Amino acid sequence: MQGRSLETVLDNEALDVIRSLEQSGAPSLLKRVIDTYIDTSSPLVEVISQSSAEKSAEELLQASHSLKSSSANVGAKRLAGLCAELEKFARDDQMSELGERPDLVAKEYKIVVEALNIELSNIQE
Amino acid sequence: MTNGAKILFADDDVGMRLLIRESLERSGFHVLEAENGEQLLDLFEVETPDLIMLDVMMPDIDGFTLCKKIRENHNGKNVPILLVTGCDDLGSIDEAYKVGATDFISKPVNWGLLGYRVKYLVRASGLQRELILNQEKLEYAQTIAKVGSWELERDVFNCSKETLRVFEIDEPEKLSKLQHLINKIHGDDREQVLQSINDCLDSGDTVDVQFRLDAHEDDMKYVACHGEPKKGIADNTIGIAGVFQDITEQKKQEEKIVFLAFHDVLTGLANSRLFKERLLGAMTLAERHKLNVAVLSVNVDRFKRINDTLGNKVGDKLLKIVADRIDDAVRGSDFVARTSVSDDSSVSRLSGDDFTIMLSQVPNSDIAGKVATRIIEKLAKQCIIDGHEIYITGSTGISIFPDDGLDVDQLIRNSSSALLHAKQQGGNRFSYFEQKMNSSSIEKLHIENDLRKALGRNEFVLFYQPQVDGHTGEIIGAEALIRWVTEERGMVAPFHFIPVLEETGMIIDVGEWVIRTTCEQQQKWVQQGKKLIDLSVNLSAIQFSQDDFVCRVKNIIEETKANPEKIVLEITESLLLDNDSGIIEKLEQFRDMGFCISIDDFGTGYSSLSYLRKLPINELKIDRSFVKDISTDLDDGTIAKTIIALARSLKLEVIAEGVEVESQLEFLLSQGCNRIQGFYFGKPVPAEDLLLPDA
Repeated sequence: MQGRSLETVLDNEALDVIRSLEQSGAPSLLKRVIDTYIDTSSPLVEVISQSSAEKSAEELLQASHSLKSSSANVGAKRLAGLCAELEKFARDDQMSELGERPDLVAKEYKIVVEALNIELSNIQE
Repeated sequence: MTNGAKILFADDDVGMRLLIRESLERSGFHVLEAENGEQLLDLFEVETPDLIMLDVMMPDIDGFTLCKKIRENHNGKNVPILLVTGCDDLGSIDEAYKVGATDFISKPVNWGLLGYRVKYLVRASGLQRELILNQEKLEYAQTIAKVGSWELERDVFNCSKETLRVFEIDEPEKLSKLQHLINKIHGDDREQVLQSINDCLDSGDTVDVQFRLDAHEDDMKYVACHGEPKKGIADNTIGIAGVFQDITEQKKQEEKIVFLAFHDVLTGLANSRLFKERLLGAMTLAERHKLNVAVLSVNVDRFKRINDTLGNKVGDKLLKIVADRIDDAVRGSDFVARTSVSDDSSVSRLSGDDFTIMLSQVPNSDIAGKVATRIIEKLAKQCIIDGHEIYITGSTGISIFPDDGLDVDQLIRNSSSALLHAKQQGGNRFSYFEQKMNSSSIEKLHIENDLRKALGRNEFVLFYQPQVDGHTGEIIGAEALIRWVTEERGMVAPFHFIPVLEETGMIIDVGEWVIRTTCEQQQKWVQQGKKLIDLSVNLSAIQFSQDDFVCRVKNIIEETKANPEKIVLEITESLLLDNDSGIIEKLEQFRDMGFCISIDDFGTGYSSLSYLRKLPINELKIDRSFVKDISTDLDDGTIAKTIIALARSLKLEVIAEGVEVESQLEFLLSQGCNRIQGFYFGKPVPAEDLLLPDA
């Protein structure tokens, strides 16, 4: 965990907002949001690693933008921030400047999913 | 207003869609979602969303392009569009407004506030829609009324589209520039308008000013501007709110009315009112500069004959030609050209064929004589009107201010006396006025001249003097008495003009008018449901000299449908003594038609009893001269008594006229004369003032 607790991976405020939107009687919105995130985000992470390696700016732009906004929605601030950086490089076509950011995204993503799974298990209790 | 409003949104991210839908539905919206731009455009075609929300970054069509496309669609002009942009991206915010977005939100979206944001936008757009609708209504109303509104506040100007239409400005971008409007104002009026606006701003005066637009000279456009000061918190004037109104039509009507009030419709020349006004002005000026003003009266010799033989239409055309020739002669004369008084005011038509010319600032009377000579020369030329060759001549009379008169009427009158003198000398010439022309013979000529026009100008009126039953005071009849009312002379007494009518034969036309008018009056009263009374009219010997007199009267009766049994024809006793024109036979025919015949002024002639017996008469009228001293003068009393007795023995009615006091009435009643006419019961009054009981 590289010295970070799971609580700092996700911004609780963001999750609280989603919780507050929940209508009574409806299946948990937060659960649906997290499920949807986990379902849709892993292909994006794939695309990010691949397009970064192949220096395909167009694909990286789309994928990092999408992952950025969906990650922000679930409160994955750091991940969203890393995506934003990648998005910017891709937009400016500075594909050789990416450095180790693609790897950081992949690592951070794993941590986010782990944290979200804990959130899910809390909901299911 | 926002409850149930339909929101259409597009986002390619499924998690985003989930959250957007959730947060909007929570706020009571009906939500339609699209996964991409294509889908959104399809949905937009079939649904009518109250608001559209677009993600800027989408794989197929980006939000900016979508927004633009929607705005280009006719149905998408006014729908609010909310763009969802990446955070802190100023460029995309700029872009969003450029493509017509109503508002933007940036990511990450604050889901708790999204519903409120959308609610606000939907409500604002509703208000805006209502505002647009009201504005359209207002604009429509302004177009109908030709009224445009405007507003000026702290140097910011704004006006409605109708204002631009009033000012004939095509480019709508000029709605906010006062200077564009000012530039269109006629140069002579511009200063006044600016002054008025400044006065309003400076001292809070109301703006109320009319001006012309700088359009083509012959097609002038008039605009009225009205404005009220707008007050600030400290009651200081901070601006003006007002209207512009196209008043061209009203203005044209006004000008027409003013023109008609001061001009003669037939010739377009000044009328007598304008002429007199200008003459007065010229006299005032001349007095100051010790100069003369000449007044020339011109008319066509024997114009009436032309009018009578060829008809009014030809007469009117001739008058137009005459007007042109006079105008031409006056303008063309050296003097007039030199002194530049050749405006239309110097020639006028007072009435009929009477033209009047004013020459202001003449150094001496010779110049007036030269102008008169030119007029006479110009007039004495052949005219061809509707195929008729007409030879005319004209005459002119001249009076000079101040020698021949010090006021307007006197000058015109004296120039007209000189004119009559010129005509007396044979016409086709001019005369200067001389004091001796004011003799009675000229006066008579004046009267004669005016009388010739009196019928055409409706200057005659009939008054009615009641005749009553002396016992009961009940009205039983009225005598129709002619009056002549002219603008110049006022009411003229019959003894001033009847002799002239008789001498000139005009009594024939005027007499016929009297009979016709009386018959019409009888029928008017019948229609009003009034009591049918005897109406007497006076006939003159000259009328009897017409062979077809009876026939003419018969026609009048037929045309007016009057009842002759209630019309009394009054003739003088003296008329009966001379039977040269077959008077007795004509009277018999009148009586056969049902008329009553009354002998006026009875007692002044020398009718014998045996002669009277043979006459077709119904009534004797005791002359006022015997009534006057009836109760005091023994002789008068005796004559009256005799006439009353005579009437009784001949089985005739008897009536007394000139009864003014009670003693006269008592005497007449005691003698058995019941029908009374005179001031005691009433003086002659206009028809509408004669009080008749209902039938």
